Amino acid sequence: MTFTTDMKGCLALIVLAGCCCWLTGCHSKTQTKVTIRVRSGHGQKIYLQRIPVGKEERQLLDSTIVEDMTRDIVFVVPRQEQRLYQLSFAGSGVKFLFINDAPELSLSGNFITGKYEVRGSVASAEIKQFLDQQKELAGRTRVLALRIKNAGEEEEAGGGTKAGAGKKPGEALSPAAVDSLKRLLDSSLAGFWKRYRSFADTVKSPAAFLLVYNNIEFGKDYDGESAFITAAAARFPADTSIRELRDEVLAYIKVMKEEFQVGDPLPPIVLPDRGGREFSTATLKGRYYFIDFYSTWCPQCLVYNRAKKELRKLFPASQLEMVSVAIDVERQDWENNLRQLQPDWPQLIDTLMWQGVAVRALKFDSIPFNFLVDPQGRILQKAIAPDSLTGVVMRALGRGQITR
Amino acid sequence: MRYKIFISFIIATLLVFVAGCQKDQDFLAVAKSGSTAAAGFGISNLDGISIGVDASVTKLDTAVKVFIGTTYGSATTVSLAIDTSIVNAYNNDNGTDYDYLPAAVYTLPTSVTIPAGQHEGDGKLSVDITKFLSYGTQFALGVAITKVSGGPNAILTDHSKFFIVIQVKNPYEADYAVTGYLYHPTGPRAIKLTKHVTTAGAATSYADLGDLGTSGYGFQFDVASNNKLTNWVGLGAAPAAPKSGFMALDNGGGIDYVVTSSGLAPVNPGTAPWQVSTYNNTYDPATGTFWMHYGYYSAASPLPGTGEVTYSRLVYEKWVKQ
Repeated sequence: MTFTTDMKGCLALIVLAGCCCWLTGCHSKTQTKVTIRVRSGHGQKIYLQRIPVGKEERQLLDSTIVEDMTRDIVFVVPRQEQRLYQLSFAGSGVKFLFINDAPELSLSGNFITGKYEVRGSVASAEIKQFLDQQKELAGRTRVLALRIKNAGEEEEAGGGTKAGAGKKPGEALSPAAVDSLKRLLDSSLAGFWKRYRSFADTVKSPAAFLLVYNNIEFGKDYDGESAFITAAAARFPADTSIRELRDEVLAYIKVMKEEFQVGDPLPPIVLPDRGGREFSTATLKGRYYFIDFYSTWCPQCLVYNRAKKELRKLFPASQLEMVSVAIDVERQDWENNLRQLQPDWPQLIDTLMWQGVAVRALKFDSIPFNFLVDPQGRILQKAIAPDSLTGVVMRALGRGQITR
Repeated sequence: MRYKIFISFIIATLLVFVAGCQKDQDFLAVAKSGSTAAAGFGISNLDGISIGVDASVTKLDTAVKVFIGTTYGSATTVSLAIDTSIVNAYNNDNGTDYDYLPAAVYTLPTSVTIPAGQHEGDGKLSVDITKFLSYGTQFALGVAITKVSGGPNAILTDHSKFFIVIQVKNPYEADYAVTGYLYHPTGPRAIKLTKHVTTAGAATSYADLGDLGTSGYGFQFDVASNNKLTNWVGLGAAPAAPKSGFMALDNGGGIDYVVTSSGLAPVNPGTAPWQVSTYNNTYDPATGTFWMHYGYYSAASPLPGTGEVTYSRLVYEKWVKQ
């Protein structure tokens, strides 16, 4: 088979066209084209930012000036991961939000009124509608709160006839009516907060989920929170941010929910000492030891200093090892404190503080905290108060009361 | 022949593709309005101009430009008139509530001249800011072209209305570099962002709550004469007082915020640096700095009670004027 010149040219064009189509396809899979039209925004500078999640910092991705309100502005953002983006205007509180869940989406807004619409993005439209509804509901609760407040001021002023002394008259309501309004306010607020969770439970966009998650609170319902975040991570298996959030929340719940009890084996921890060498509490196995956790910024912790020194005087290291762990981010503060205190037992530091190995492994959630551990590594006592420290240790080690 | 048709089709397809790319590339190009033989304003009837004026400014001069698409050998006179129906229509269409700019505070020529051989004529709206009685109130002015003479004698109808909103800003309105911390039971995090403080009155301002501006959370506050921050009002989706407000206690609810989800290592509220003794809800006029500590209640807050003892989201923020 021979190719004519026309055929070769045609083939070359087909290959070129194929490449173009392939590149275009890739573009739509990896990027979102955002077309923006801003009415009444002539001369305004627009900033495009990605809203951070977790450890991220806010990123300014692009900016431009609205030169012509009748023409579109186009930004392109990555689309590998669904995220929330914000368009803000310099020197103004106006902002437009969108989520990059489509190859192309468009925003049209009015700079003066701050109102805007998003087209072509299901997630953006969904989260905007939800947030607008929440604002409306919050507005209604504010009206209720104001009625209650005004009724209270009316009562303080002694009724409607006396309220006019420089004060806007409040609503004359009976105590029963005020109570009724308070109940209505509480139930309205409960419904308002519940909607965040309902929305997060059903929303299909991970970016919308992460935005709404901020507003959900579980209080002490750790089981509920665990089930919620686990289910969310399962619903968005490809989303790294939600997986990280789940891991953090589950770690938090573990700390908050569980703690070691007397008789439990206390796991060993490894932390740096003053010289920067790693010290493992596993080396203390076979001996009694007292380990305490404190911080230089914690006034309640300082109360233990005297008690610990007294303990050291009473029990040489051969009878009772002591280890102190500073939950401190600043090594210098720690060093300064030790120079004053001059302890003669091992001093360790966990600069990751509440994220550190001490808190995570030993499951305590406040400082000062301590454990007294037997030679088998089991907890003899925990959270011993400073004024009873020596007495508790004496009894635990079978030395009876001290006579001083 | 069929090959030639096919090749033409392919070339046409590629041209469309390339042309599409070029359109994206020149999106910043300025479109010139008024290409017809008629005179009109530089902005369309659908648009307006918003101006925030610093309180230190005494007089505001704003250009009111008129254009014609073709030039003429003689000057063109464009007659202007105040038209309150433009403001009414804007308020109706956009759900706004702008007051008319009082006649006593501005001057506007009754006509603007486009010189012979020119496309553009400059008018000037002068506003005496010293006569503004109210900070924060947004005043609007509507101007209509009523007649064009000497040139095209025709009005570009889509560009025949000029709408402007003017607001005098209080001394606090500005962008602020904000740093701080938001205590959240399972999602505590550092705050580092830029906030814009918007004028709501002579001493009343509005800003986003924490880093929750994207969730529609905001609040209004006053700066008292002694520079203390008072009169908290939750706005947007933020709960109203007493479910939100400035805090006098570090952690009225006594909630443990012990593990972060942001990888940082906060201490509980009340330990350095997050202390209400520093973040004391004041404004420092010398440095243009706000020190804030505020919070809000959510339904599942663990402790009963009212006011700040129920707050489970606590914010410490330093706002530095940029």
